[in-house]
Amino acid sequence: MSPEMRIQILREAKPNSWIAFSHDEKSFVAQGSTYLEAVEQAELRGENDPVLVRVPEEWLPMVL
Amino acid sequence: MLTVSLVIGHATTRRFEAVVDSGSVSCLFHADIGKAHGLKLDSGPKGPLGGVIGGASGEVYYHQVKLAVPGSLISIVAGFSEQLSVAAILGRHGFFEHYVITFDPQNNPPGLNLERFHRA
Repeated sequence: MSPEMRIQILREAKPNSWIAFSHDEKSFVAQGSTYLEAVEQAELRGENDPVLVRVPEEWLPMVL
Repeated sequence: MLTVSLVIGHATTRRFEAVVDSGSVSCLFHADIGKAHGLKLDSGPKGPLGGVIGGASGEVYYHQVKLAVPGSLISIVAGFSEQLSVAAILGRHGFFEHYVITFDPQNNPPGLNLERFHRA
């Protein structure tokens, strides 16, 4: 998955949600309102080792 | 960004993306991760959570967990917060104190080189 495609997936996801990518991070697998829901949805789709990313409420430049 | 996981009690979380941030005192994790693995958030010591933008604040609860970074498992005191906008932040206590970290901007996206060191 290209960085641009990954960014697009994250930008289009529901705010304050979790995205599950495949174990190799090459494809989008599932989405959930919580970490647990995203994991469960990923497992239902056959991915037992997803990589989870949290989608923020707003896409803003962050100062951490 | 670095993909890591946690060991909470006897449970190992799924891997998630963490922000590598030397500006953070501690390692912080979204509360969802802890709760999904049986952590009772408010059973741990509570602390404030703030940032460089004045007015924004939150609460964090600290718990002893293990941080799994590729190749290493490190016991840390981690903060868990409902207010974290990202899955995790790897800060000075628990992460930067164990690694020499080099930011490599040559690739897209930019990468990190980690070198673990052990204090005598």
